[in-house]
Amino acid sequence: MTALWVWLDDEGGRSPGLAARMAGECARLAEEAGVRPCGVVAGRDAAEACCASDAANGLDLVYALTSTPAPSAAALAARLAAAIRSKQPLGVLLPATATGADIAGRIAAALERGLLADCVDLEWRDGGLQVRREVHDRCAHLALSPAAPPPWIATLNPAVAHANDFPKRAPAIEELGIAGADGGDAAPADTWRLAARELDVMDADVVLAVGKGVDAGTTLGTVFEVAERLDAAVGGSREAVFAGMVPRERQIGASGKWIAPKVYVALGISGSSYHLMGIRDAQHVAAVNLDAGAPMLERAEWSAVADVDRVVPAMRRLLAEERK
Amino acid sequence: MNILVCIKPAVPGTAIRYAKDSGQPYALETLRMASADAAALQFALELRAAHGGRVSVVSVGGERADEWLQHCLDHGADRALRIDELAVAERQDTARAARLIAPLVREEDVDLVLCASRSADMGSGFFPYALAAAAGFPVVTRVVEVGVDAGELTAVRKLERGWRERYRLPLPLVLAVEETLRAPRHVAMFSHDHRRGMHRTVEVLHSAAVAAVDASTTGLMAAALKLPQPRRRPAARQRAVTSARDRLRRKPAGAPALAPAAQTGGDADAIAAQLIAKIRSWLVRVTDESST
Repeated sequence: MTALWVWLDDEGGRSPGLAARMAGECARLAEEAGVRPCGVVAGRDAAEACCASDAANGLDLVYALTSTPAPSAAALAARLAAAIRSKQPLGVLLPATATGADIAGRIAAALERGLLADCVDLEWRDGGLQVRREVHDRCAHLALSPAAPPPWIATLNPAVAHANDFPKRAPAIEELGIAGADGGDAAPADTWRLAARELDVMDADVVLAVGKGVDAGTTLGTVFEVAERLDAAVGGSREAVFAGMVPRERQIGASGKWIAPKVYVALGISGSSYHLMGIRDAQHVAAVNLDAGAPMLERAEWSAVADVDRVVPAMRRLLAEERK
Repeated sequence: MNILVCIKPAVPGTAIRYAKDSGQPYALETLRMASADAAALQFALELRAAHGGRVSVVSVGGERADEWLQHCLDHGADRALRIDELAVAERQDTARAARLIAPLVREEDVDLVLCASRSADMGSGFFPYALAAAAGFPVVTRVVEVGVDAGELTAVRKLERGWRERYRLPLPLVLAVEETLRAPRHVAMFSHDHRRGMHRTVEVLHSAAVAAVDASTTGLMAAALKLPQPRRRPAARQRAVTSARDRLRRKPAGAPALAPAAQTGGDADAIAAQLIAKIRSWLVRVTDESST
C-alpha cells in the first residue's frame, strides 16, 4: 500500500504543536486518498518523543531516518531524499516554516521535482492532489497539481493547518538506518533569538505597543525591560513614532505594519481606527489606558483604566521578583 | 569576486485587477523588480566596490525583462544577460529557469550567486535550491546579514519568531536574500546619465544555445488565478475544531476576542499582576489550541 509522508518536527521547541497539526493534515489527506499516513523524523529519540506525545495521532507508522543526529538541514534533506528514493511514498508534506521550507526545497531539487510551496489548501480531488497557494503578494490564489509521477513535495502554511482531532495512539516506529548521506552544506555555527529591542513586531508572539500615554523619559526604557522578560517585541502607534519613541519600522497600523501576534498589549494607545486595522489579526488584545472612553479599551479582550507609567514599573518589579 | 545576480521582473500584487462581472483576478502587463532583487543587486555592487571583480545580472524570460535589466546596468552592473525563453515566463517554470542559468554560473567563473529568497509573483522560494543543485553550489536562503572575509562568507539566516542562524561557508555559493539586506540606493543623476552614455545593452542568449533542458521540468500544472478564499473547514471528528478560516484570520472560533470585557480597576500592582497572568494564560491557550 502506498504511503503519504509527513515531516514531524517542532524545530527545537520553536514551533510548539506544529508536528501534531501536520500529522493531522497528513492523516486526513491520506484518508481521502486511501493511502497509509506515515510520519518521518530525524532520529529514534525524536520518533519516540512524537509517539509519546500527541504529535503522531492519526499516523500508522513513524520512520526514524537514522540514529545519528544530522549536522545540518542539508544533511537532513539528503537523508530524507534517500529515504524517499528507497520507500517511494506518494508524497511528502512539510510545514512551510523556514526550516521546513529549507528541507523541502533541497529535497525537491535533489529528486528533480517541482515544489508545491507554502500551500494554503490541500485536497484530494479526482484521484489526485490539488493545492492552492497565495501568489502576487496574496492578491490572488493559484491552483496547482503535480503533473510528474510521484513523489510530490509540498509545504503547508502552518497558519492554515487544522487541529489534529484524531484519537491518541502510538504508531509503530521503524528505523530506516540511512547514514552517510550528507548535503555538503555547513551546519549553522550558532542559533540565537533577537533581543526585544531588535525583535521585529512581525515575528513576535507577544507585542507591547506604546502610544502617547507612555512617558518617553521615564517609562519607555522600562517597557523594553518588561518586553525582554516576556520575550516580546516593542512597537508603537503613529504618534509614538512621531514622538521618536520607536523607529518607523516598528509602527503598527494602516500606515505601518499589519501584525498578527498571539498577544498584543496596547500601553497608552487610544486606538484610532487606522491603528486598529493594523492589529486586526491579533489573537488576544489587552489594553491599559487612563481614558475610560478610548476605543482601544472596547477592542481589547482585557483592559484596565490605569496610568501606564505606574503599571509598567509594577510589571517590571513583579517579573524581577519572579526571577529571584 | 565575480558575482551573478539573478533577477525576476514579475507582476506585483499592485498589478492584479479583478474582473467586474466575475471577480476573477487577472494580471496587468506591468513588470516590477522585487525589493529583494534590488537588495541583492545593491549588495553585489557594494561587494564589488570592496573586493573588486564584476557584477553580472541575468534573467530568464521574454523581452519585457529588458527594461529592468537595463535598469540594473544603469545602477552599475557590468553586464546584463537575458536568456530568451518565453516558456519559462509563461509557465513559471522555476526548475527550468535554474537549469538554464546553471551553465552561465560555470562559464562566468562565478564566486557568488545572489538572488531573492522568493519572487514577487509566484514566490515559491524554490529557485535558489534548484539553481544550487544544478550548479553544485551550497545554498543559504532567507539571508538578512552577510559578511565576507578572506574567501569565507558569514550569512545570517532569518527564522520565525526572531530566531536567527549564522552560517560560515566558503565560496562559491548561492545566497538567497531578503529585502531587508540592503536598501537600494538611488543612482545620482550624473552617474545615471554617464552610464546611459556608455550605451551598454542587454545581451540576449537563446535558451537552446545555453543549455539543453527538457521541455518540461517543473512537474506542476497550474490553473488560472483565483480569488483568495479561506480554506474549507473539515468535518469535526470528535469535537468542534478551530476552522482554518479562523486560523487565517488568527481568531480561534471559541475565543471571545472581539467581545469587550469588563474594565479592570485597582492599584497598579494588582493590574500589573493580572496583565502578566493574562498574557501567560493566553500564550498557553494559543499553544494548546494549536496542538489539540
